[in-house]
Amino acid sequence: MVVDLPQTAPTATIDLSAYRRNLARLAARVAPCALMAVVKADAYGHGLVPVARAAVAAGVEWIGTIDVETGLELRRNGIPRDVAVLTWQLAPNEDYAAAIEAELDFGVSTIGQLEEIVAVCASRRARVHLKIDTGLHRNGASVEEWPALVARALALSRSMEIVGVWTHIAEASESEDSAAIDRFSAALAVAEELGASPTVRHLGASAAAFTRADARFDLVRIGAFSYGISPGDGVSPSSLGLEPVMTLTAPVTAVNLGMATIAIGYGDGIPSAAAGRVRVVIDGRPYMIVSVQLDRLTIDIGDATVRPGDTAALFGAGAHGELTLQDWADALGTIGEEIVTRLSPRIRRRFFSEGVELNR
Amino acid sequence: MQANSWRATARIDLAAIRQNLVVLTSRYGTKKYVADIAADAYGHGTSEVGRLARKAAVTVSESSNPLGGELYGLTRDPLLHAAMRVSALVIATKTIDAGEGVSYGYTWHAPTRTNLALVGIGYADGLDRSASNVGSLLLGGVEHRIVGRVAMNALVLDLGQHSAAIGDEAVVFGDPAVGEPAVGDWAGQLERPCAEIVAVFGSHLPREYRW
Ligand SMILES: Cc1ncc(COP(=O)(O)O)c(C=O)c1O
Repeated sequence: MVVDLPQTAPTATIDLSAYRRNLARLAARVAPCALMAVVKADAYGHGLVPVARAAVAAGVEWIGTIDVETGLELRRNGIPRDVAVLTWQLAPNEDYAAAIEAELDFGVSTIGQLEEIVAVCASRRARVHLKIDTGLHRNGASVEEWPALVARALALSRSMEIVGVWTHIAEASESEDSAAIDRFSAALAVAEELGASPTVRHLGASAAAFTRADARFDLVRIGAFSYGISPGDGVSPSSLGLEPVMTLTAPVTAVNLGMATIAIGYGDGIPSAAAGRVRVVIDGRPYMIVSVQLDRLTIDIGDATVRPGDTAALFGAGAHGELTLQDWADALGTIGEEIVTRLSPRIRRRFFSEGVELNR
Repeated sequence: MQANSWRATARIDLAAIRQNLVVLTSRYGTKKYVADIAADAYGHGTSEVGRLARKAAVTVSESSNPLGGELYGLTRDPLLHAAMRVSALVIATKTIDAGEGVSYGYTWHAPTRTNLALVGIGYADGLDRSASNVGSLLLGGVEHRIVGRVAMNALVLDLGQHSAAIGDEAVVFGDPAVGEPAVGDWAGQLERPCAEIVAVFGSHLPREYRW
């Protein structure tokens, strides 16, 4: 990775080659099941459009975003129509007309949403994925509501196509996940009995898709693992054959009395709780963070030689002695996803593919 | 800035900041006072806050100072008012039976049959995952606890016997004068500086300005 460029501001360096390698390993692992690249929350803080383009270049035919607005943004930025784009947090007054014309897929949980979709005048059939709640209790139709949701979608088949039947599980324990898988299979049987024949049935996200063949069905929706973010609890990305994609660096701006100032702070998304818990690495040597302020942090350098203009690595792949995102997550009692998605959009993202920087 | 303003918003009351500027310039002197607009004006928007400061003939600095949060009403000073309000909308509701689990890892199980509201805000918006099973949001005039893990883009509130409708607004913090929780309450519960809370929400949520 190219991290030794002179810097004046914090930078997140995104290794799209590592991202593509992760996708390839995950695709091989779940084959013949297909893979959806999940790029919600600005591709987990990695940068929506370059990441989605890299997924498409790697042959991915399904992309998951959360909202319609982001789906439209992907289409505007050239994500081709033969790549399905699933959206599932649907607004009460969603602009379905534009979304149907842009050939976005909708994850639908209620009959009310079906009615809103058919109420718009569109030149093509809407693509819907009907969602059953198998225990997570966020959205999705309940077991009681399910037959009516399926029946209504079938009755509206002139205006919509049932592309998928799906759910999302809690990844609570093996037995609880098995119970969710059983509920999903039961809901599929109900849907098929009513006459639905979805193209794809999907349930698993990263962890379940990786570990359980019976969680894969036709398609799995992969976010965290594609960015080399592992579930923690002692499971590192490398133990799964995955590589971290993001390297976060920031310049040293001042050195005084055994302390050095780094130009990144909690206003940039670095958790204030990192003080006293996490080290940053300069020239291969680790230095403890002693305080985090709005726009800077202070490290204890003792009598080491650190100079303004040096680059501090906060986290990365670990190849130059820097900590990994997993080290941060473990030290802060959270998951890697929270740390990367909190990073401010103002932090510059630089994208590299095969060692060459992409111009945006 | 993410586009999904229908789910969650940071509303910025520029009148509060203007009023805080009046208090602070009379306290420190217009010539001496420096408006701290580091980190995108603590998530309130550099250009909007910068414009107010210039109108008041106040110098601005993009490097933070320890008292900078005063301008945004982030201290206990009763003369200064918080300017950011964070709220999100209910995107689904459901009723679950006693014993059923909620959200990732089922870290919470309903003690009795209860009503839930799914609210469109999560840790990617700046609502700390550590608020899982701890924090609460104000919905329909009542504080309801977050149950189960806060997810990337959504969280679940336990409404008990209360109910909510899709599109109802849940407030994370706002104006204590109208009974909303103060940003200091939220920050205190999570043991984080107020400035961190507003800067992170403000950099991720769509901002809506009140003049
Ligand atoms: C419905 C849905 N599917 C898939 C994912 C991807 O999950 P993960 O990042 O664990 O792969 C998410 C994100 O939480 C999601 O909400």
